[in-house]
Amino acid sequence: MSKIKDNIEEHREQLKKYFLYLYPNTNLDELSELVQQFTMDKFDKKQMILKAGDFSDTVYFVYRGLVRIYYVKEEKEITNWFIKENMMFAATYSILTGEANYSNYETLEDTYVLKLKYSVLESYYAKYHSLEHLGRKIIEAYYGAFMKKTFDVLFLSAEERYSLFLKDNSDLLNRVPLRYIASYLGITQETLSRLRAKH
Amino acid sequence: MNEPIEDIEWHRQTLKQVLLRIAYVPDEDITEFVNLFSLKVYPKKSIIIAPNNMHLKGYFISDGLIRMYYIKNNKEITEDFRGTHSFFLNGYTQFAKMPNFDYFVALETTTCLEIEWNELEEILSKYHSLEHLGRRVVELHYAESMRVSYNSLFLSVEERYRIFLKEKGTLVNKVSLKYIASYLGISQETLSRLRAKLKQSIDEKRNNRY
Repeated sequence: MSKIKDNIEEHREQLKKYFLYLYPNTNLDELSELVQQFTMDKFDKKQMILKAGDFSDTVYFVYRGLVRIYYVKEEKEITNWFIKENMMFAATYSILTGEANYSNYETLEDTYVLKLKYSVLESYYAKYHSLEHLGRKIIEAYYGAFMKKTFDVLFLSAEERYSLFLKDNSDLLNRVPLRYIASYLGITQETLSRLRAKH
Repeated sequence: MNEPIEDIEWHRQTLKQVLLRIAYVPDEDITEFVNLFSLKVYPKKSIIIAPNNMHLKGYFISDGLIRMYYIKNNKEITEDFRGTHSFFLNGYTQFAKMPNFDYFVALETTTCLEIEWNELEEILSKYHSLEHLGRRVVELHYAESMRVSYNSLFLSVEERYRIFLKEKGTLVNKVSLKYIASYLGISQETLSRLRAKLKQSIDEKRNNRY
Protein backbone atom coordinates (compact mmCIF):
# COMPACT_ATOMS: atom_id res chain seq x y z
CA MET A 1 0.00 0.00 0.00
CA SER A 2 1.29 3.42 -0.84
CA LYS A 3 1.80 5.83 1.98
CA ILE A 4 -0.69 8.67 1.88
CA LYS A 5 0.27 11.84 3.62
CA ASP A 6 -2.46 12.65 6.04
CA ASN A 7 -3.28 16.12 7.12
CA ILE A 8 -5.71 15.97 10.02
CA GLU A 9 -6.80 19.58 9.61
CA GLU A 10 -7.99 18.79 6.12
CA HIS A 11 -10.13 15.95 7.41
CA ARG A 12 -11.52 18.04 10.22
CA GLU A 13 -12.61 20.53 7.55
CA GLN A 14 -14.28 17.66 5.73
CA LEU A 15 -16.12 16.70 8.93
CA LYS A 16 -17.14 20.33 9.44
CA LYS A 17 -18.73 20.36 6.00
CA TYR A 18 -20.65 17.23 6.85
CA PHE A 19 -21.98 18.80 10.06
CA LEU A 20 -22.88 22.02 8.23
CA TYR A 21 -24.79 19.98 5.68
CA LEU A 22 -26.91 18.54 8.53
CA TYR A 23 -27.36 21.90 10.24
CA PRO A 24 -26.25 24.90 8.14
CA ASN A 25 -26.64 27.38 11.02
CA THR A 26 -24.17 25.71 13.36
CA ASN A 27 -21.99 28.37 14.98
CA LEU A 28 -18.64 28.15 13.16
CA ASP A 29 -16.37 28.87 16.15
CA GLU A 30 -18.16 26.27 18.24
CA LEU A 31 -18.01 23.78 15.39
CA SER A 32 -14.24 24.34 14.99
CA GLU A 33 -13.78 23.68 18.69
CA LEU A 34 -15.78 20.47 18.40
CA VAL A 35 -13.97 19.02 15.39
CA GLN A 36 -10.64 19.69 17.15
CA GLN A 37 -11.64 17.01 19.66
CA PHE A 38 -11.73 14.31 16.98
CA THR A 39 -8.63 12.14 16.56
CA MET A 40 -7.46 10.04 13.62
CA ASP A 41 -7.46 6.29 13.40
CA LYS A 42 -6.90 3.74 10.66
CA PHE A 43 -8.27 0.24 10.11
CA ASP A 44 -6.84 -2.25 7.63
CA LYS A 45 -8.95 -3.86 4.95
CA LYS A 46 -11.00 -6.79 6.31
CA GLN A 47 -10.54 -5.62 9.88
CA MET A 48 -13.38 -6.01 12.36
CA ILE A 49 -13.94 -2.64 14.04
CA LEU A 50 -16.82 -3.75 16.25
CA LYS A 51 -18.31 -7.16 16.88
CA ALA A 52 -21.80 -8.24 17.87
CA GLY A 53 -21.87 -8.39 21.66
CA ASP A 54 -19.48 -5.45 22.05
CA PHE A 55 -20.31 -2.29 23.92
CA SER A 56 -19.06 0.85 22.28
CA ASP A 57 -19.35 4.56 22.96
CA THR A 58 -17.40 5.96 20.03
CA VAL A 59 -18.65 7.77 16.94
CA TYR A 60 -16.67 7.55 13.71
CA PHE A 61 -16.50 9.74 10.63
CA VAL A 62 -15.05 8.01 7.55
CA TYR A 63 -12.91 10.37 5.52
CA ARG A 64 -11.62 7.60 3.26
CA GLY A 65 -12.57 3.95 3.01
CA LEU A 66 -15.55 1.68 3.32
CA VAL A 67 -17.24 -0.18 6.15
CA ARG A 68 -19.88 -2.88 5.98
CA ILE A 69 -22.37 -3.25 8.83
CA TYR A 70 -24.03 -6.65 9.08
CA TYR A 71 -25.69 -8.98 11.52
CA VAL A 72 -25.77 -12.76 11.61
CA LYS A 73 -29.08 -14.56 11.72
CA GLU A 74 -29.47 -18.33 11.42
CA GLU A 75 -25.81 -18.51 10.41
CA LYS A 76 -26.38 -16.09 7.54
CA GLU A 77 -24.79 -12.66 7.24
CA ILE A 78 -27.30 -9.92 6.47
CA THR A 79 -25.76 -6.66 5.28
CA ASN A 80 -27.53 -3.66 6.72
CA TRP A 81 -25.48 -0.66 5.63
CA PHE A 82 -22.43 0.42 3.69
CA ILE A 83 -20.61 3.39 5.17
CA LYS A 84 -18.32 5.18 2.77
CA GLU A 85 -16.40 8.46 2.81
CA ASN A 86 -18.23 11.44 4.29
CA MET A 87 -20.52 9.27 6.38
CA MET A 88 -20.62 8.60 10.10
CA PHE A 89 -21.16 5.37 11.92
CA ALA A 90 -21.45 4.29 15.55
CA ALA A 91 -22.86 1.42 17.52
CA THR A 92 -26.00 3.51 17.85
CA TYR A 93 -27.96 0.66 19.39
CA SER A 94 -25.35 0.17 22.09
CA ILE A 95 -24.91 3.90 22.73
CA LEU A 96 -28.62 4.68 23.00
CA THR A 97 -29.92 1.56 24.74
CA GLY A 98 -26.87 0.80 26.90
CA GLU A 99 -27.09 -2.80 25.73
CA ALA A 100 -24.65 -4.86 23.70
CA ASN A 101 -24.49 -4.04 20.04
CA TYR A 102 -25.83 -6.74 17.67
CA SER A 103 -24.12 -5.78 14.43
CA ASN A 104 -20.63 -6.35 13.11
CA TYR A 105 -18.64 -3.51 11.58
CA GLU A 106 -16.02 -4.69 9.13
CA THR A 107 -13.86 -2.71 6.71
CA LEU A 108 -13.98 -3.60 3.02
CA GLU A 109 -11.05 -1.28 2.22
CA ASP A 110 -8.32 0.40 4.23
CA THR A 111 -10.41 2.83 6.21
CA TYR A 112 -9.39 6.15 7.73
CA VAL A 113 -11.57 7.75 10.33
CA LEU A 114 -11.93 10.62 12.73
CA LYS A 115 -13.36 9.46 16.02
CA LEU A 116 -14.68 10.77 19.30
CA LYS A 117 -16.28 9.36 22.43
CA TYR A 118 -20.01 9.98 22.55
CA SER A 119 -19.69 11.29 26.11
CA VAL A 120 -17.22 13.95 24.91
CA LEU A 121 -19.54 14.82 22.05
CA GLU A 122 -22.37 15.22 24.56
CA SER A 123 -20.23 17.47 26.75
CA TYR A 124 -19.94 19.82 23.75
CA TYR A 125 -23.69 19.60 23.22
CA ALA A 126 -24.08 20.73 26.81
CA LYS A 127 -21.54 23.53 26.38
CA TYR A 128 -23.03 25.11 23.23
CA HIS A 129 -26.66 25.43 22.20
CA SER A 130 -25.98 25.34 18.47
CA LEU A 131 -24.03 22.08 18.87
CA GLU A 132 -26.90 20.57 20.86
CA HIS A 133 -29.17 21.48 17.96
CA LEU A 134 -26.70 19.87 15.55
CA GLY A 135 -26.76 16.78 17.80
CA ARG A 136 -30.53 16.57 17.45
CA LYS A 137 -30.30 16.96 13.68
CA ILE A 138 -27.73 14.14 13.52
CA ILE A 139 -30.01 11.79 15.46
CA GLU A 140 -33.02 12.82 13.38
CA ALA A 141 -31.09 12.13 10.17
CA TYR A 142 -30.09 8.67 11.39
CA TYR A 143 -33.58 7.92 12.66
CA GLY A 144 -34.92 9.04 9.26
CA ALA A 145 -32.51 6.76 7.37
CA PHE A 146 -33.55 3.88 9.60
CA MET A 147 -37.24 4.52 8.84
CA LYS A 148 -36.62 4.94 5.14
CA LYS A 149 -34.94 1.56 5.04
CA THR A 150 -37.93 0.01 6.80
CA PHE A 151 -40.21 1.53 4.16
CA ASP A 152 -38.04 0.34 1.24
CA VAL A 153 -38.05 -3.24 2.49
CA LEU A 154 -41.81 -3.17 3.11
CA PHE A 155 -43.05 -1.56 -0.07
CA LEU A 156 -40.46 -1.52 -2.85
CA SER A 157 -39.74 -4.28 -5.33
CA ALA A 158 -36.22 -5.68 -5.68
CA GLU A 159 -35.84 -3.73 -8.91
CA GLU A 160 -36.89 -0.46 -7.29
CA ARG A 161 -34.52 -1.04 -4.39
CA TYR A 162 -31.72 -1.75 -6.84
CA SER A 163 -32.29 1.43 -8.86
CA LEU A 164 -32.41 3.47 -5.62
CA PHE A 165 -29.13 1.88 -4.59
CA LEU A 166 -27.57 2.74 -7.96
CA LYS A 167 -28.63 6.35 -7.67
CA ASP A 168 -26.49 7.04 -4.59
CA ASN A 169 -24.02 4.20 -4.65
CA SER A 170 -23.12 3.24 -8.21
CA ASP A 171 -19.45 3.46 -7.16
CA LEU A 172 -20.01 0.64 -4.69
CA LEU A 173 -20.67 -1.85 -7.50
CA ASN A 174 -16.92 -1.88 -8.11
CA ARG A 175 -15.92 -1.67 -4.47
CA VAL A 176 -18.15 -4.27 -2.83
CA PRO A 177 -18.43 -8.03 -3.50
CA LEU A 178 -21.77 -8.63 -5.20
CA ARG A 179 -22.93 -11.09 -2.56
CA TYR A 180 -22.91 -8.26 0.02
CA ILE A 181 -24.92 -6.00 -2.28
CA ALA A 182 -27.40 -8.82 -2.88
CA SER A 183 -27.80 -9.37 0.86
CA TYR A 184 -28.18 -5.59 1.39
CA LEU A 185 -31.00 -5.58 -1.17
CA GLY A 186 -32.53 -8.74 0.27
CA ILE A 187 -32.23 -10.68 -2.99
CA THR A 188 -30.19 -13.61 -4.31
CA GLN A 189 -27.00 -13.07 -6.26
CA GLU A 190 -28.72 -14.49 -9.36
CA THR A 191 -31.49 -11.90 -9.17
CA LEU A 192 -28.89 -9.18 -8.73
CA SER A 193 -27.05 -10.38 -11.86
CA ARG A 194 -30.29 -10.28 -13.83
CA LEU A 195 -31.01 -6.74 -12.60
CA ARG A 196 -27.50 -5.59 -13.50
CA ALA A 197 -27.84 -6.99 -17.01
CA LYS A 198 -31.10 -5.13 -17.41
CA HIS A 199 -29.90 -1.70 -16.23
CA MET B 1 -65.70 5.32 30.96
CA ASN B 2 -64.63 8.59 32.50
CA GLU B 3 -65.31 11.85 30.70
CA PRO B 4 -62.18 13.58 29.37
CA ILE B 5 -60.82 16.31 31.64
CA GLU B 6 -61.36 19.68 29.99
CA ASP B 7 -59.00 21.79 32.07
CA ILE B 8 -55.98 22.34 29.81
CA GLU B 9 -53.82 23.43 32.75
CA TRP B 10 -54.25 20.01 34.30
CA HIS B 11 -52.93 18.35 31.12
CA ARG B 12 -50.05 20.81 30.82
CA GLN B 13 -48.97 19.99 34.36
CA THR B 14 -49.02 16.29 33.45
CA LEU B 15 -46.89 16.96 30.36
CA LYS B 16 -44.46 18.99 32.45
CA GLN B 17 -44.00 16.17 34.92
CA VAL B 18 -43.44 13.59 32.18
CA LEU B 19 -40.86 15.83 30.45
CA LEU B 20 -38.99 16.61 33.66
CA ARG B 21 -38.43 12.90 34.17
CA ILE B 22 -36.45 12.90 30.90
CA ALA B 23 -34.23 15.93 31.49
CA TYR B 24 -33.90 18.86 33.84
CA VAL B 25 -35.36 22.08 32.47
CA PRO B 26 -35.70 25.33 34.47
CA ASP B 27 -39.29 25.98 35.51
CA GLU B 28 -39.63 29.19 33.50
CA ASP B 29 -38.55 27.51 30.24
CA ILE B 30 -40.72 24.44 30.62
CA THR B 31 -43.76 26.49 31.56
CA GLU B 32 -43.39 28.62 28.44
CA PHE B 33 -43.00 25.40 26.47
CA VAL B 34 -46.07 23.55 27.75
CA ASN B 35 -48.16 26.69 27.30
CA LEU B 36 -47.63 26.36 23.54
CA PHE B 37 -49.59 23.11 23.50
CA SER B 38 -53.28 23.04 22.72
CA LEU B 39 -55.79 20.44 23.81
CA LYS B 40 -57.64 18.15 21.49
CA VAL B 41 -59.93 15.24 22.24
CA TYR B 42 -60.14 12.50 19.61
CA PRO B 43 -63.21 10.27 19.74
CA LYS B 44 -62.73 6.53 19.65
CA LYS B 45 -61.88 5.25 16.13
CA SER B 46 -61.04 8.70 14.75
CA ILE B 47 -57.99 9.15 12.58
CA ILE B 48 -55.39 11.48 14.09
CA ILE B 49 -52.85 11.24 11.28
CA ALA B 50 -53.72 9.84 7.84
CA PRO B 51 -51.23 8.86 5.09
CA ASN B 52 -49.59 11.72 3.15
CA ASN B 53 -50.12 14.09 6.01
CA MET B 54 -47.90 17.14 5.65
CA HIS B 55 -49.17 19.07 8.66
CA LEU B 56 -46.42 18.45 11.18
CA LYS B 57 -47.10 18.49 14.88
CA GLY B 58 -45.79 16.95 18.07
CA TYR B 59 -48.31 15.02 20.13
CA PHE B 60 -48.48 14.03 23.79
CA ILE B 61 -51.14 11.56 24.90
CA SER B 62 -52.36 12.88 28.21
CA ASP B 63 -54.97 10.17 28.43
CA GLY B 64 -55.91 7.51 25.91
CA LEU B 65 -54.57 4.98 23.49
CA ILE B 66 -53.66 5.01 19.82
CA ARG B 67 -52.69 2.42 17.24
CA MET B 68 -50.27 3.01 14.38
CA TYR B 69 -50.71 0.82 11.33
CA TYR B 70 -50.25 0.60 7.58
CA ILE B 71 -51.94 -1.36 4.85
CA LYS B 72 -50.05 -3.88 2.78
CA ASN B 73 -51.69 -6.31 0.34
CA ASN B 74 -55.08 -5.20 1.66
CA LYS B 75 -54.09 -6.16 5.19
CA GLU B 76 -53.67 -3.86 8.16
CA ILE B 77 -50.29 -4.32 9.85
CA THR B 78 -49.99 -2.83 13.33
CA GLU B 79 -46.70 -0.99 13.83
CA ASP B 80 -47.13 0.04 17.44
CA PHE B 81 -49.45 1.17 20.20
CA ARG B 82 -48.99 4.31 22.29
CA GLY B 83 -50.77 4.82 25.56
CA THR B 84 -51.23 7.47 28.25
CA HIS B 85 -48.14 9.68 28.82
CA SER B 86 -46.41 8.81 25.58
CA PHE B 87 -45.41 10.92 22.60
CA PHE B 88 -45.87 10.47 18.90
CA LEU B 89 -45.34 12.31 15.64
CA ASN B 90 -45.44 11.68 11.92
CA GLY B 91 -41.91 10.25 11.84
CA TYR B 92 -41.76 9.36 8.16
CA THR B 93 -42.55 12.88 7.01
CA GLN B 94 -40.67 14.58 9.81
CA PHE B 95 -37.44 12.58 9.93
CA ALA B 96 -37.33 10.45 6.78
CA LYS B 97 -38.56 13.43 4.69
CA MET B 98 -40.99 11.28 2.75
CA PRO B 99 -44.80 11.12 2.69
CA ASN B 100 -46.00 8.91 5.51
CA PHE B 101 -47.92 5.75 4.63
CA ASP B 102 -49.21 4.95 8.09
CA TYR B 103 -52.36 5.75 10.05
CA PHE B 104 -52.55 6.92 13.66
CA VAL B 105 -55.97 6.04 15.07
CA ALA B 106 -57.53 6.49 18.50
CA LEU B 107 -58.54 3.13 19.98
CA GLU B 108 -60.45 4.89 22.73
CA THR B 109 -61.34 8.49 23.52
CA THR B 110 -57.88 10.07 23.46
CA THR B 111 -56.91 13.42 24.92
CA CYS B 112 -53.82 14.91 23.30
CA LEU B 113 -51.74 18.00 23.82
CA GLU B 114 -50.41 19.15 20.47
CA ILE B 115 -47.83 21.62 19.28
CA GLU B 116 -47.18 22.91 15.77
CA TRP B 117 -43.76 21.72 14.64
CA ASN B 118 -42.50 25.16 13.60
CA GLU B 119 -43.41 26.52 17.03
CA LEU B 120 -41.59 23.63 18.62
CA GLU B 121 -38.45 24.31 16.55
CA GLU B 122 -38.67 27.98 17.43
CA ILE B 123 -38.76 27.51 21.18
CA LEU B 124 -36.07 24.81 21.07
CA SER B 125 -33.86 27.34 19.31
CA LYS B 126 -34.65 29.88 22.00
CA TYR B 127 -33.76 27.77 25.05
CA HIS B 128 -30.78 25.44 25.24
CA SER B 129 -32.46 23.50 28.04
CA LEU B 130 -35.39 22.64 25.76
CA GLU B 131 -33.06 21.81 22.88
CA HIS B 132 -31.39 19.28 25.15
CA LEU B 133 -34.75 17.85 26.17
CA GLY B 134 -35.76 17.61 22.51
CA ARG B 135 -32.61 15.70 21.63
CA ARG B 136 -33.15 13.29 24.52
CA VAL B 137 -36.75 12.65 23.43
CA VAL B 138 -35.67 11.87 19.84
CA GLU B 139 -32.89 9.60 21.14
CA LEU B 140 -35.26 7.70 23.40
CA HIS B 141 -37.69 7.10 20.54
CA TYR B 142 -34.96 6.07 18.15
CA ALA B 143 -33.65 3.63 20.78
CA GLU B 144 -37.15 2.24 21.21
CA SER B 145 -37.59 1.76 17.45
CA MET B 146 -34.25 -0.01 17.22
CA ARG B 147 -35.20 -2.24 20.12
CA VAL B 148 -38.48 -3.21 18.43
CA SER B 149 -36.58 -3.96 15.23
CA TYR B 150 -33.96 -5.97 17.16
CA ASN B 151 -36.70 -7.97 18.90
CA SER B 152 -38.47 -8.83 15.67
CA LEU B 153 -35.16 -9.94 14.13
CA PHE B 154 -33.85 -12.10 16.92
CA LEU B 155 -36.57 -13.07 19.37
CA SER B 156 -39.21 -15.77 19.09
CA VAL B 157 -42.87 -14.83 18.95
CA GLU B 158 -43.28 -16.12 22.50
CA GLU B 159 -40.45 -13.93 23.79
CA ARG B 160 -41.87 -10.92 21.99
CA TYR B 161 -45.31 -11.55 23.44
CA ARG B 162 -43.79 -11.75 26.94
CA ILE B 163 -42.03 -8.41 26.34
CA PHE B 164 -45.29 -6.92 25.09
CA LEU B 165 -47.05 -8.13 28.26
CA LYS B 166 -44.28 -6.74 30.45
CA GLU B 167 -44.03 -3.33 28.78
CA LYS B 168 -47.54 -2.79 27.48
CA GLY B 169 -49.47 -5.30 29.58
CA THR B 170 -52.10 -2.79 30.59
CA LEU B 171 -53.11 -2.56 26.93
CA VAL B 172 -54.03 -6.25 26.67
CA ASN B 173 -57.55 -5.72 27.91
CA LYS B 174 -58.09 -2.61 25.82
CA VAL B 175 -56.78 -3.74 22.45
CA SER B 176 -58.49 -6.26 20.25
CA LEU B 177 -56.51 -9.49 19.90
CA LYS B 178 -56.36 -9.18 16.14
CA TYR B 179 -54.32 -5.99 16.50
CA ILE B 180 -51.93 -7.61 18.96
CA ALA B 181 -51.54 -10.57 16.59
CA SER B 182 -50.73 -8.28 13.66
CA TYR B 183 -48.27 -6.34 15.86
CA LEU B 184 -46.48 -9.62 16.60
CA GLY B 185 -46.72 -10.69 12.97
CA ILE B 186 -48.68 -13.86 13.73
CA SER B 187 -52.19 -15.16 13.11
CA GLN B 188 -54.89 -14.78 15.72
CA GLU B 189 -54.98 -18.56 16.15
CA THR B 190 -51.26 -18.65 17.01
CA LEU B 191 -51.79 -15.84 19.50
CA SER B 192 -54.66 -17.72 21.16
CA ARG B 193 -52.53 -20.85 21.48
CA LEU B 194 -49.70 -18.76 22.94
CA ARG B 195 -52.03 -17.16 25.48
CA ALA B 196 -53.40 -20.56 26.50
CA LYS B 197 -49.88 -21.91 26.90
CA LEU B 198 -48.72 -18.98 29.04
CA LYS B 199 -51.83 -19.20 31.18
CA GLN B 200 -51.23 -22.89 31.73
CA SER B 201 -47.63 -22.34 32.78
CA ILE B 202 -48.72 -19.62 35.22
CA ASP B 203 -51.40 -21.93 36.65
CA GLU B 204 -48.83 -24.70 37.10
CA LYS B 205 -46.45 -22.38 38.92
CA ARG B 206 -49.25 -21.31 41.23
CA ASN B 207 -50.27 -24.87 41.96
CA ASN B 208 -46.70 -25.90 42.67
CA ARG B 209 -46.51 -23.40 45.47
CA TYR B 210 -48.91 -25.42 47.57
